[in-house]
Amino acid sequence: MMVKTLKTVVFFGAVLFCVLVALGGRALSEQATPQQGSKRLPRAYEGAPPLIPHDAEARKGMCLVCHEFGIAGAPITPHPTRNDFCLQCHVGQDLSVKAFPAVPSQEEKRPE
Amino acid sequence: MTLSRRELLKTLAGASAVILASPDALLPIPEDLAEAAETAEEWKKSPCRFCGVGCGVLVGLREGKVVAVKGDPEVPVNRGLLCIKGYSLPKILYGSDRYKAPLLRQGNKFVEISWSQAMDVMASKFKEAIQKDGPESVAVYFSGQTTVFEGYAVNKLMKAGIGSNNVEGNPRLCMSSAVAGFYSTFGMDEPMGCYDDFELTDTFFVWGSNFAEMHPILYSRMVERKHQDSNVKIVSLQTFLNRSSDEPADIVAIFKPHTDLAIANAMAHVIVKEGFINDTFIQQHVTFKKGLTGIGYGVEDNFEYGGASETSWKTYKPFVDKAQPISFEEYKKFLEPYTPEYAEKLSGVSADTIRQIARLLGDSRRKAVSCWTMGFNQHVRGTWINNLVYNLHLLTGKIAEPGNSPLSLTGQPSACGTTREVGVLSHTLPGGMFVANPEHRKKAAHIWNVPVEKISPRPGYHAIEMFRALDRGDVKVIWINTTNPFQTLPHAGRYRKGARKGGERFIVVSEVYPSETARHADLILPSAMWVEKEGMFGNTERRTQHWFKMVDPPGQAKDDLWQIVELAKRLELGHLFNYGEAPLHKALFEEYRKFGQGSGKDLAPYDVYAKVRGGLRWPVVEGRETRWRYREGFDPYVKKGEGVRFYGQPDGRAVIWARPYEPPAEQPDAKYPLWLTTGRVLEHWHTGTITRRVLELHRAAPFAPVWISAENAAALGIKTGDSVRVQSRRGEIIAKAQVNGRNTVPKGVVFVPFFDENVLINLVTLDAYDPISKQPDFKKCAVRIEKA
Ligand SMILES: Nc1nc2c(c(=O)[nH]1)N[C@H]1C(S)=C(S)[C@@H](COP(=O)(O)OP(=O)(O)OC[C@H]3O[C@@H](n4cnc5c(=O)[nH]c(N)nc54)[C@H](O)[C@@H]3O)O[C@H]1N2
Ligand SMILES: Nc1nc2c(c(=O)[nH]1)N[C@H]1C(S)=C(S)[C@@H](COP(=O)(O)OP(=O)(O)OC[C@H]3O[C@@H](n4cnc5c(=O)[nH]c(N)nc54)[C@H](O)[C@@H]3O)O[C@H]1N2
Ligand code: HEC
Ligand code: HEC
Ligand code: SF4
Ligand SMILES: [Mo]
Repeated sequence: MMVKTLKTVVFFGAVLFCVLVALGGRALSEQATPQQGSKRLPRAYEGAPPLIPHDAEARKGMCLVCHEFGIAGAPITPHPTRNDFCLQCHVGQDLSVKAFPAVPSQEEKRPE
Repeated sequence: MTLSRRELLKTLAGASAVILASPDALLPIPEDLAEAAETAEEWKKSPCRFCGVGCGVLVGLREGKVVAVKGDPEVPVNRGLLCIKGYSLPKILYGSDRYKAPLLRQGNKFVEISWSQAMDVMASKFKEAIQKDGPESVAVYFSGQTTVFEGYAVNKLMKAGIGSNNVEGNPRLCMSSAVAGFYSTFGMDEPMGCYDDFELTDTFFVWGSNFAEMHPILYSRMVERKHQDSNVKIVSLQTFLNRSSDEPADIVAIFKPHTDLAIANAMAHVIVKEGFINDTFIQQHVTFKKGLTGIGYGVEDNFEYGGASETSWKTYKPFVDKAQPISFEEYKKFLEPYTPEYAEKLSGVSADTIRQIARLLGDSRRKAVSCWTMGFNQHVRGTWINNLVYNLHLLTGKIAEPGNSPLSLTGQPSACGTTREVGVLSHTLPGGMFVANPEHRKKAAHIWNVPVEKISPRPGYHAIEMFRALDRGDVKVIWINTTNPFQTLPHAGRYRKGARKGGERFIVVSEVYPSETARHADLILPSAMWVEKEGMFGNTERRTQHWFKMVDPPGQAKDDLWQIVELAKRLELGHLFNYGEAPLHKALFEEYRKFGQGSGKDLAPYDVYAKVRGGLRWPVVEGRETRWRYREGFDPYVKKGEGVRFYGQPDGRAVIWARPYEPPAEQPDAKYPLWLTTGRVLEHWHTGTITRRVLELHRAAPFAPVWISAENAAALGIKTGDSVRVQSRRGEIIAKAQVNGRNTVPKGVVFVPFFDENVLINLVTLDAYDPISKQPDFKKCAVRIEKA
């Protein structure tokens, strides 16, 4: 139980930090019109859940703080009732990671 | 200006790459992600091919390709929602390295051959082995991702054609403890309740299942319920903190691995002591029993209770429990030592918390749903711990009615529908029957139209013993299909080496993508997957769903059913699948359906499943599905006036089992001081062969880390991102350390997922199993860790 309380405190801290970074690090125009200069990533297809363009794990449990009313230029979620399980549909991305398998050939999987 | 969606995205991607030049910018959007999908022309129904929740999807098709999916709003399982794996379905078919032609091993490489050559080679190997060493020298190892049609066909081929019961599937690694629990308590497999209970209950008990990540849509139904009604309570029992113990769980209890046996008995202790029992229910519907104890761990070949007489399969006797009736008084005496204080000593969960949880379950004003998955089943006392959770529901009478339900969650999409219901295991026959039972063999032989002597009364090898036999050389030819055992068997180092020992061994692997198992093959057959073929799956809540073939497989790939029939033809057993003019899938299903008719496992006709979105929950009697079994008014098999009848048992009564705490097979010691527990993450499916080829999923979870506690990490001078060696008595791996994140492990425990072929954690795990269910325990062994 202790660990859990601690975790929550850490969350709040992290979110506060993120809000500050988001508010402080960006031009005002960018917040108002997040489409321009947006980090938003293309969706796999129309109707697919958008990918999270920011750290997901650190903001876990706090998503609606920004996405319920669009604080800090965050797009407003079309489904605010899905609280507490955002991360089962929206996932973060390490864009430095290359497609798998690195060598797209069966040679890679040489026989044992 | 009108832009196509693709053009629009390309423009956007280009624009953002320029504008995003600020210091905190992410990398520019890569071309590969900017590839947008065209909109679909046509939508068709299918279940999701991933987990056992069994969500319904609408598959968007365009020009012979799957381009989109959406959650089917008509299917009650998910009502339009999907998790990220479900949303990723369109991409799983189009990885760059799909197998497109049969491949035969030649020394150190694979060469392409034709299908007729491939099937001829395979058949000749089967024939040779059968002629020389008998039908028990060949084996097939299939999967809970195998369709009902494929499972039924391969079962019939082996048991009615070849005369070998060496038919196994990966559900042995997954659900067999649940099955053994169902049989020993209720005399019949599969849950009595269903997902509807999630909206009808007010108290949830999650027993070491991380279903926020592994059964996401079901988890979201629990969370939605909690949001609607603040009176709802969620208790999450776990061996480490994870997303299933996050908000909004009310009580979180972290226990030491394996000590759930003591916690469950202590809860029963409190329920009995504090008068939470339902006397009438117990008097009318329950009996008490005890069984054998000190039953061992199955770590030796040909393991037998009390010690193997000789290491030969011919003399091997499968474990049979010896049930003895006891009285309620004797059961109470058995519970006497399981005080919450004793359980606290073993588990680390405070006696107060245990009392609190027991009282919540006992409270007669509350309903109760219990859920569990691999925490219970992958357990050297897996059958027992399944029994123990049923005890709690039986003592309180909270069972088999709306909102009161112990619900064993199934892992794979058709471990229930195929492996369990079609009986694709070495000791079973379709429709809940057993090879060892002469009446059952008679019925099967009649439906299959073969002489009864054809079906062997001896159970074949169970999964672990099958691969031990391959290592020893007792199994010569094995066909591995829709499963990746050389990454997923415990103590895989032994079985990987065993497979390549040479001699007469011949390993056929049907696959869609290069896998660790394909690497060990002699012959690789390229398969069709998911909507590239027609199929049927059965989920956790007894729901059977059908889909039609929608697109062609790539290259020469062929579906697994076709492969089974072609093998049968070459073994002169083609008549088993000759249904004249009738379409094969429908004919197979209509024949299979005869096994369950009138036995409580009634299925609807093929044409009904072909039509109904979301399918139906069996037993389906007179066109009506069943939501709650064993309860009058819901289950057509319970007669008027009976109220409740557990008709799987001859006396109609469920069994409360006195099952003690016994220690695990291996525990941390001075040399190997940490517990290793293994499992999964949301984004990847098992060995990652499919999900790692979806770029968005790969980028969300690119590698398997080893989760370690802050305390252990500090003591060893390890930080997140450092390479560490995880070593057991059997083998070692190197992985990156991860302190906290989505999981937080307690001191003394490390957690490693098994999806990453570069982190083959099963080289480290132990192949101990539950002697009753023969399911191995992937959740516990002892390891040590050092900086690598
Ligand atoms: N994303 C995703 N979903 C999946 C799958 C997948 O590969 N990926 N696979 C599917 C399949 S086949 C399966 S079987 C399920 C598995 O689903 P889960 O069993 O939920 O998942 P695992 O990660 O295998 O196991 C982790 C859980 O084991 C518990 N645990 C560990 N040791 C013990 C113990 O000693 N006692 C108890 N009671 N609990 C313990 C932990 O507390 C944790 O909740 O997931 C299914 N769903
Ligand atoms: N350490 C550890 N090990 C575990 C577990 C654990 O918790 N910890 N859990 C165990 C459990 S519960 C399970 S269920 C198993 C799962 O273990 P496996 O079944 O071995 O794992 P999968 O990755 O699902 O393997 C399925 C393979 O079939 C291929 N495939 C997909 N579709 C098709 C098809 O239509 N036809 C054919 N021919 N092939 C296809 C895929 O590419 C993949 O390689 O792992 C077990 N192993
Ligand atoms: C501190 C504020 C903040 C928090 C907390 C936050 N986000 Fe965001 N999120 C943003 C901003 C700002 C953007 C838009 C980024 C841009 O346009 O460059 C965004 C973008 C997104 C997007 C992309 C939407 C699209 O259409 O492309 C998703 C999805 C998302 N966030 C999900 C989440 C989830 C899930 C959580 C919780 C784990 C979360 N966010 C927490 C601020 C936040
Ligand atoms: C069951 C899946 C699911 C869950 C759970 C879920 N989302 Fe979404 N979300 C989606 C889908 C699908 C879309 C795209 C909707 C569309 O295209 O119309 C979406 C869209 C969004 C957007 C984009 C809005 C825009 O205008 O671009 C944001 C932001 C978002 N979700 C945030 C969240 C947050 C925050 C949570 C948790 C409170 C959450 N989502 C939970 C599936 C989900
Ligand atoms: S919850 Fe399971 S069945 Fe549903 S979409 Fe996710 S993986 Fe598929
Ligand atoms: Mo599983």
